[in-house]
Amino acid sequence: MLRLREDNERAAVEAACKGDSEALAGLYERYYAVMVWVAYSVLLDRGLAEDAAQQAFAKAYVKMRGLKRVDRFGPWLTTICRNAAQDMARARRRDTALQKIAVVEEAAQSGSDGFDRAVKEAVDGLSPMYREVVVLHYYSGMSYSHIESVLNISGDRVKGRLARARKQIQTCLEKEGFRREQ
Amino acid sequence: MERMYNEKDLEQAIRRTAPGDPPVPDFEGWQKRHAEAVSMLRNPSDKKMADDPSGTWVIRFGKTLMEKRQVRFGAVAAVLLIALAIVTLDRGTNIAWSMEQTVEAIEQVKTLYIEGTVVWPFGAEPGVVPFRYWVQAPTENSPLKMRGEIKRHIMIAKGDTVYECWSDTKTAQAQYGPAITDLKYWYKAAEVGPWVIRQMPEMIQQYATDWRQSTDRDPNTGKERILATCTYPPSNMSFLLVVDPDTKLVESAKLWGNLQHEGEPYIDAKRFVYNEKYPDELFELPADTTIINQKDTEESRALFDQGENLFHKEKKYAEAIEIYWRVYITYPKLNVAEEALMMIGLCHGRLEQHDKAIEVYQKATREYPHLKGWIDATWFYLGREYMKIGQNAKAIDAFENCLKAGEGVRDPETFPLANAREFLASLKGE
Repeated sequence: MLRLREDNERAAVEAACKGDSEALAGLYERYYAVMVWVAYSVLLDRGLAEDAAQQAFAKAYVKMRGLKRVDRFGPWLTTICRNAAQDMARARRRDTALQKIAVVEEAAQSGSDGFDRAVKEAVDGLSPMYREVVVLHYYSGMSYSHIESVLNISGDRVKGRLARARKQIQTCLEKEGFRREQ
Repeated sequence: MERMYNEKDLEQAIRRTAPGDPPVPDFEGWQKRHAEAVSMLRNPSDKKMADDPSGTWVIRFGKTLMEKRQVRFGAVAAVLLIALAIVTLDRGTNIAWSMEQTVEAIEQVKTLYIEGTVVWPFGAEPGVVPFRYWVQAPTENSPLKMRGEIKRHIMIAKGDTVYECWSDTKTAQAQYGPAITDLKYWYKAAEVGPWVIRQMPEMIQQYATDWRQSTDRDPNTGKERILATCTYPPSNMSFLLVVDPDTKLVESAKLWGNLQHEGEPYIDAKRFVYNEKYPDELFELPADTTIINQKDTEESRALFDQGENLFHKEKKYAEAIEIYWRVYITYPKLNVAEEALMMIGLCHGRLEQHDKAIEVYQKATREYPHLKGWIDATWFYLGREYMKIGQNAKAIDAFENCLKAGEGVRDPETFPLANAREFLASLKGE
């Protein structure tokens, strides 16, 4: 199944390079949500993340003909998107910080017993590498194998990062007075 | 007391923290916003534009034109300078046009004033706002000088330095040529036209399409005038230029964010005035303005980031307070000082030191009443602290001040304005 998807994707990338609109649209639709979440894991701002994802597609399409490994379109696009988000984060850090505080504040207002707020803070406080897999797995609902193909890392590394991310979240939660049942 | 959770609780809570609904792709909308990328991929001949430095500049210029505040500001100038350059093109049959005559006319221009309107998408009340723009050509003794005004935002450029300031504060941010990122298009435009006239017409001649010319008479004066239109597909822009056939100079110009010359123009330059003499003060900052340089900005931000790390990641609020105070004491004139005070208040709040939090928030609102970066959020947090200690009347005042401070600056449906309205309604029993 995964093999078939990769073959289709390769054909779509090659067709898009030749200016095929439908192929272009297909790639956009396939990857848009994933790119938004990749950008979100850097920016922690949904609106900015959508902007970054769109910019990433624009950059990618301009450079697409120069892509040597069409079978690695996903990881390549992910890298472009991550870089676009990092550029945006640097340029707009004031707004991002405000949003971060706003999110914390909103979570504090609405969270049940403060648990959601604490979880939100813990997720936002993860290093980008761990936050990326958490966001892709839990926010986007991606399977391990799908994350593996998009990030171009092994399945074991995906699982390892998720496990370490959960551990860090648990540590943060402990500091906030929440303890995991054994 | 410890509260227990299991793995399922945690996973569900993580999913609940996802912001908003799942992202939905809108390929049609994206194509419209990024026409240049699609165009380059679809049309192989466009690739040479991406490889050509001057072409890349034009493409990037168009792409970022409507995305950034500073670029938008500079774009008003840049596009109109492009407009000036366009008239130098000899597009054929109209007897009023001659490349040599027009170049000669523009080269004689020593100063230029332009006024009109621009679509301004920033802040809580985006809309069409007036702009004014002055340019003074460089001479042997004086560098190129420019001044632009849009709403309360003023930019002054002299040589390779740009000052960005706001009319209701007494600080200006200095941006030096090599460090300028967002302003590079402004400089680029200044470099290429109209004072250095050759490059821009060549670029426009190469890339702009669908040229049309006609003549009509000015409805007010009855004077004949030339109307020139063209489009620039890679950036999804179209132009209209109204040219005086006698002077060969542009009288007015419009730029649309579409290829059909339709709807509200992004830029509507209604009046051009050439060769007026400007007083030197026009290109000076007000006498009592404090100039903030890039080094201070970077150093203050690095220190502030230490505080952010302690607050957000390590949750060491007492240590964060010390760092934020250092930011405030060392850089009191920078916007980051206002932000640091707010963060100190937040730290005290997390430490349940409500009186101290209130004291700091009050200090911030006293000292930075006009700064638009954080003052609305500071009022909001002040209101929250008052609520926590049961002083609801003061909380209402603070939330109302939050709404006033954020009006016209922040999107009213987002934090902190939406939250302040919610608390106000709750406190007033609505």
